[in-house]
Amino acid sequence: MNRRYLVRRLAQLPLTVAAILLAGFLLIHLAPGDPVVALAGQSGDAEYYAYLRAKFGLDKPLPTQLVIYAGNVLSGDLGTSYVLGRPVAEAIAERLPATVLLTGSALVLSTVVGISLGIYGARRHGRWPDTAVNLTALTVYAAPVFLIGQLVILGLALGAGWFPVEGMTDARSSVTGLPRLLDIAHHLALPALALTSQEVAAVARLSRVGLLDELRQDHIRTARAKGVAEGVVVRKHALRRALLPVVTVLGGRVGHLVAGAVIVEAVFGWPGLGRLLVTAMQNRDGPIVLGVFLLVAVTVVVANLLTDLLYSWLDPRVRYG
Amino acid sequence: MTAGPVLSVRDLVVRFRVHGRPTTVVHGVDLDISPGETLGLVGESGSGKTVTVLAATGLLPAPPVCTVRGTVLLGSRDLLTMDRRTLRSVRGREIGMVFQDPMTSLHPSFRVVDQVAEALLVHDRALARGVACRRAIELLEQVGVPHPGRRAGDYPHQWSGGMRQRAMIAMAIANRPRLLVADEPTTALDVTIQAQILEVLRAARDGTGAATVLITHDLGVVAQLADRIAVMSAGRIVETGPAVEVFAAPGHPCTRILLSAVPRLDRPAAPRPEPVRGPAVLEVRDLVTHYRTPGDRTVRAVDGVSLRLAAGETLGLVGESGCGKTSLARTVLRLVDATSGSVLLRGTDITQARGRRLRVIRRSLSMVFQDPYSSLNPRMTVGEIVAQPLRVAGRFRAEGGARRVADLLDLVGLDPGLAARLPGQFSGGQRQRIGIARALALSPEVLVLDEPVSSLDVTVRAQVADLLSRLQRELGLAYLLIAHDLALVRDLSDRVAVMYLGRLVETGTRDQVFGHPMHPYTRSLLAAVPVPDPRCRYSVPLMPTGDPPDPADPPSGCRFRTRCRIATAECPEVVPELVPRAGGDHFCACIHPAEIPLRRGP
Repeated sequence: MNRRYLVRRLAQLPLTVAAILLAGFLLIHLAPGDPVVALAGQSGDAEYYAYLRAKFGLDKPLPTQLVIYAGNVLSGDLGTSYVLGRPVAEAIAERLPATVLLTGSALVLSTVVGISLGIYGARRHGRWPDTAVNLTALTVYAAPVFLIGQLVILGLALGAGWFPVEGMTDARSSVTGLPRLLDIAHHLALPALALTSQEVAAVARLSRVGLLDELRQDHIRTARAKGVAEGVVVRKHALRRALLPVVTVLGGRVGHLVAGAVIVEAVFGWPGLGRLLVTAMQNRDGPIVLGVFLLVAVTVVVANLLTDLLYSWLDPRVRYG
Repeated sequence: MTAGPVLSVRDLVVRFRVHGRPTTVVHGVDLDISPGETLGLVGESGSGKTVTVLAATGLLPAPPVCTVRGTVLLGSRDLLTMDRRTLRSVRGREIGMVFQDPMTSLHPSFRVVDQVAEALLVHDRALARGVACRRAIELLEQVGVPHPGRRAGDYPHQWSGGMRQRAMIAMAIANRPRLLVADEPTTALDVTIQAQILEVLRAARDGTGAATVLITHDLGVVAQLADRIAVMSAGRIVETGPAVEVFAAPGHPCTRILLSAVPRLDRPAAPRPEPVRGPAVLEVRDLVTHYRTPGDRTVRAVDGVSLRLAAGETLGLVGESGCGKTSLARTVLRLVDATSGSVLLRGTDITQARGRRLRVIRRSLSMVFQDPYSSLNPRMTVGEIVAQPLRVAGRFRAEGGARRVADLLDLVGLDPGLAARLPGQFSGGQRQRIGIARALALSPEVLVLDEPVSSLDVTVRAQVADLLSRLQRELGLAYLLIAHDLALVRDLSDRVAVMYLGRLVETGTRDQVFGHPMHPYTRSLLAAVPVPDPRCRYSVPLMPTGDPPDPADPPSGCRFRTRCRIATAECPEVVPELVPRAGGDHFCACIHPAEIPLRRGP
């Protein structure tokens, strides 16, 4: 990996994020609905409206608002929520851990389980376990996240009663130590399952096909001719390059995971960024929406950069310049 | 022979299931290989050579895709009934294998040294990683990789094909196997590198004392190494015997066909009609084509080349891969832009032509590509493929439409009734005929033939070469023939230009260049062509050494000096010009061309 390329990519990062923020800013202001009306009600008096507008700086022309906002963001201030009346950064920081926990565990789960299923299928290529994995993956892949969410709630929470229906913690549980962690994990299981099932399916299908393709390569025959054990051939020789498309997809789907988290958080009442965002949008709470945008944009851009770096590690022939 | 055979194959039958139907590809093969012996297993592609060996070593897909019957005894143990664990311990330890394509046979994501070291580590769990790597570097040194210690961090893509094949051999001999299997080990390589690799294989065999199976379709290659020959055809062994006898008196028709298909540089060339010394159709003057690489380096692909091609004449352009032959052709065809210099088509410079004028010029220049499998659109019918140039030029109607297509197919020896079929339904030779028909559609004056037969089966090559000769006579075409197959170039060309690292080093009539080669590079190229006669093996002193240098960083002075066996202290100082020698139209760019004639054989 050449250092110049890395520096250039890092330099592009703020530009990309700035472009996303600009688009978000304009979209919010072009969208119908008025935050002041949302806050003060339909039939408030004109003076109170004007007072609120002046308070949030909404009385200034749009370009001026943009310049002020941009200046604030550069100095590390994401503004104040219209509705909550507290700094946006604080509101986001409060919700962030829950979302990171949910999407992070979904990402890890989908990678580990997906790739394992892919290997399992590929090694039994053409026999019934392969077909079963393949069909299940296709079915799950085709089902929308909210449907899967509802189904697991119906089946595993309401039906079997194994898992809580919603929330992140139980009101009666202890506040510290291992019991608390177990409680969170118990609550996390269903939302993570709902969020991850599609990713697992996608990763399983991709790694299966990638492996099957890779196992036909000449260099695999070389490894076998050397006397390398079949398991090592699959895990060390074939998997490495079979993972290239998986990495691409996973990197690209970090954004999807965040978007999926919005729905899953709503379904399971998970106190994360997704719910914060949905509420903020309903209230036309611009600063919060933009703050979440910023965070998601940075995450996606960084994830893309990591994907590219991972790529050249998996296949040293890939050169960026 | 006192000891029993190292490998003994009895009644080997291999069945594949293709689209649910079982097909037998090997019908009861018997083979014996004695210790220290080299067996040449030869046959056309598809005759079952490779499958036989892969079946014997258990490297074919598992049933039900593929079933193997018979016995394969390595010493006294049957490889076919062995459990997987034991078989694994035999592979790579007692049997070392070298495969055809060194570009794909090494893992692209692991360092070469680690891959060689893995061959040791797999069979010796007690071995420390560092020790294995040091031993791997020794092995690489042994097979002639220069300074392997300094290249320990390299990945396969950073190595040339020849170096990668050396690495494969290093891997195969790492555990001093009893049996060495080399499956078409030089087919993907240049003739100069082929000569080097065969030398390395010979040394590896002699160093380990392993019995060797050399699988190849090239009887010239097999003659260099084999003690005994087994000829396969359609899944059966049709002839077997000592190499000298089989070559001297081939018994089976298949052997005779294979033998006659080998181009022979050691025999007189086929006569060619007296070339018409007409005006030049195509003239290339001081042509330079440079590419920029991402690392801001300049690859000097073509670096000042001048050529002249008269109507009805063939100019053969030879040289190793990477010497700039194809870049030159592409520049002539305006597929790549020239950096400087000019290309004159009937006296007008075409390097600056744009738009409509360029399209008109392109009708006079046409190309036949190397690979008939990838150069025909698989979703277009043959008729559409051949009609394509006519349609693009807007001349489909004017030239007679479907009738013109039928005429073109007829011209290249294909049944015009097959125009509605897809390329997938044709053999390699037929596909190349389709490619030729397409190239002829707009009645060009100049045809660029880029390795026109090298991806075809040996027996088909002669047919396509004959077709090209006939078309040239009938249509008065001028050919720019690019090939690394020197015998083919000799048979088809009137004049020959030898290219090395972007420059021409020798030009002349074919009898001058092949009969009295002057440049040391030309002489080593010719010496590297294997003669299909076990009594005429390579003479080592004529071989070129090492790989061609990097075209982005060519050596100073004479570019060949780094591999030349007669280079002197003057060579790095002087850039040799192409100057006429002896006959007047025989040019050579060397400050001291030796006058030693090329001789070898008994």
